[in-house]
Amino acid sequence: MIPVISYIGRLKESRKGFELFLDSLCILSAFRSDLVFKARVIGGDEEDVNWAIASAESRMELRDLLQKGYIEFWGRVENDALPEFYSRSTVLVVPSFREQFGIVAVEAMMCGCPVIASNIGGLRDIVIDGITGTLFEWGNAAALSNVLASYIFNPFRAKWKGKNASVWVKSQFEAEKVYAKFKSLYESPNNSQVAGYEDNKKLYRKLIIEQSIPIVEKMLQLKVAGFEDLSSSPSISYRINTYTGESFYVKKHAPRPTSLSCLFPVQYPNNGETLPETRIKLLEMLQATHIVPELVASDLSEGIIVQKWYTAIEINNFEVAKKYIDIVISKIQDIQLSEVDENLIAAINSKLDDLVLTHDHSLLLEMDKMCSEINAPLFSGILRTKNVHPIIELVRLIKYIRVNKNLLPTNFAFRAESCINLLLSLRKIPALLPRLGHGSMKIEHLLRGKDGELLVCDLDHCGYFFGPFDVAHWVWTFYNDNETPAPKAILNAINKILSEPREFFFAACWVLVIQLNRELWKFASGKLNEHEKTLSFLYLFPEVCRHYLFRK
Amino acid sequence: MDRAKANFKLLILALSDDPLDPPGYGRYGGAQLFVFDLGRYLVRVGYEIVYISRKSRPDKPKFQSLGPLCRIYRIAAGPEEEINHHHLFLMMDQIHAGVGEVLKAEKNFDAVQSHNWISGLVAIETGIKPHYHHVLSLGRVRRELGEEKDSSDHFRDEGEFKVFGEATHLICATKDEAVSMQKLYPNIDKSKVRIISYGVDNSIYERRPYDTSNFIHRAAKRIKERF
Repeated sequence: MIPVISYIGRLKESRKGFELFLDSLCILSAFRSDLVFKARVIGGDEEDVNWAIASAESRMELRDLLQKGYIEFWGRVENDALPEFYSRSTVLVVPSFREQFGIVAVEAMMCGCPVIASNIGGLRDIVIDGITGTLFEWGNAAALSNVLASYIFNPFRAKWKGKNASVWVKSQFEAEKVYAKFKSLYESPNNSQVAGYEDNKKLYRKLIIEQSIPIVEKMLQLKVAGFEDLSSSPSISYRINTYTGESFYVKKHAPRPTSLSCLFPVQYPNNGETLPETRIKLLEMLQATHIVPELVASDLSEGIIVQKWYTAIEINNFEVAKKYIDIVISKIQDIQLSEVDENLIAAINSKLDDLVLTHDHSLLLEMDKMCSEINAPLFSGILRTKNVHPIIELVRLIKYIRVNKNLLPTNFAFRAESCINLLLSLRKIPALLPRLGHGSMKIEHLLRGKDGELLVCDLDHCGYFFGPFDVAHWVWTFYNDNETPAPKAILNAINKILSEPREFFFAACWVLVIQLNRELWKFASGKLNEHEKTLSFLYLFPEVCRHYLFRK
Repeated sequence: MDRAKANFKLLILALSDDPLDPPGYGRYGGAQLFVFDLGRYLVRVGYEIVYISRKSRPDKPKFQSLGPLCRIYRIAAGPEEEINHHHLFLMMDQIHAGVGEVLKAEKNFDAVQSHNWISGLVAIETGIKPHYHHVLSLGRVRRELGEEKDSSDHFRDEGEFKVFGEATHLICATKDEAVSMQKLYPNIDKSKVRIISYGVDNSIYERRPYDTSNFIHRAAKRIKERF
């Protein structure tokens, strides 16, 4: 099914941003001809529509799409028919320059259609960025194009956000509830609440938590007395206290696309989604290792896991953190979850040089498949494209940056390509064995068990990685919260942990992969002008890399 | 003291946003829809609603009864055509006179609700209290965003200042609007600010079955809406 991008609203009023919408389609059409999409424009009388068509026709890049009927102009449609349009849209774009509210955004979200909107005015209150849609930089057509490209590229992104959107707006903007507030204000003006300004992301999470608590109570056969939101990612996690005085950690998984699958071509039908049931089954497998908190209950259909509650370890000092994390990483590496096929490993190692030399797309897909096969036993046999080998990821990144260079900030694209080329040319790529890794290692995941033993949470991200992914990830996370870019601090710290040159090289590769992936995801989320820190990182990175790699 | 009673009579001043204008045409959009939906809801729960708007087209009637509990008066002010609604300040004498005429026929209001700064100024003149002012965009936000200057800017600023000072409650549609208002109009009494969004009818706006063969469900849905 071809993704449909809709614009619904006034056409000629410049503050509504219709021309910005057309500009973004021009950019997509000119620079991402691989993306197939339809655009649907609704609103305006005959004169407005004629003006809008003329405006589209005046753009050379859109003529082909117009001739093929890939841009439709419907004029005004009756309100009752709008849900039919929203339900048939992959995403609605609201590119306003000024917007007090943005009622079309609410209407679309009620119909399960996510919204890409300008980060302005009331739209910021309606669209929860990254959850129910995406807020792009005000007035920036290139930023909008980047967001659109990722939605077109992976329809799961829209599907997941559309579901969230529907839950959110029904709780906040349902007419009966809203107008009842007016009634209450008129009748008890002195009792009505003064404006509250809670963060929408928190409100949304609270809503989901409150919806899931009755299910958790049923799972535990216990009554929940209170909860504390602990979420640090789109997957919602929280601690509950029961009336019996016990505490539990609850995580609600939802099928959602991986960021990797919204940026790069992936080859499996279910690849866009992280399936809750596979994560829960993985956690069940890991129970035998005694390194994860004890699983108390799980519900595959609801994607809910309940684990025993343990206290997090608070560490701010790098040396102390290093000591603890070293222990956990070695414990994870020792876990035997599945046999890894040696022939696959040999085949991956033998093809790396060819991949670096040719950047051949079919070879990249072939290697992706082999990497997926290594990890498949962890995901109930399902093949998924995942970060597994840093060299493969660097090649994937350089290919992406080349294809998208006209959509990305020029300085960033050149710098990123140059850093990748540096790493790919510095040394002959060594052959390594994959090791089990946490996949999202950071200090916040460490816990202390009741007998003082070290535990780690969120291990359901784990997988086999070539090279020290976990070391690169936790050190990068540790230093990347700083205001200033920190490639020197990061590589210096890694150098202290990994003295073996090949290990250091792979860790440096992973650091670059993590940094670039994060930045590309920001671009795909409509934040095109917030890359100064990464740019500084990329300017400093080669010098530091050379320093350590040549010395070794 | 709470004042819940049957037939609460509310005057809604929507001089720039006729509730019966069709959203999706010209400049008509969410604001018109909101004024219409709010009135419809309040009538359903037993309120008596009197709208006052402007006669912005020759074919619009001066008076329409929309059932026993709802009426709309359209006063003559300026040409009977769409004009920049901020320029209504040039016609304030006509507006006050027109509203005065309506208030001779309609009395005993429990409250007045105004939309936009011009309606807010008119609401002050009616003397009806409490006065709920729905902010509906802010002049200083427009200027902060660098939009083109308009001859009404100065009058709007003065008008907004007066309305924000005198209205009993200030209703913002979003947190963002409330924050902007308090930032750009620093003298506002924060205790007057309420945030109430626009509402959307989720019996109409819900996901429709995608499958085109699911005709019965879709048709049944439309029938349900009609009746």
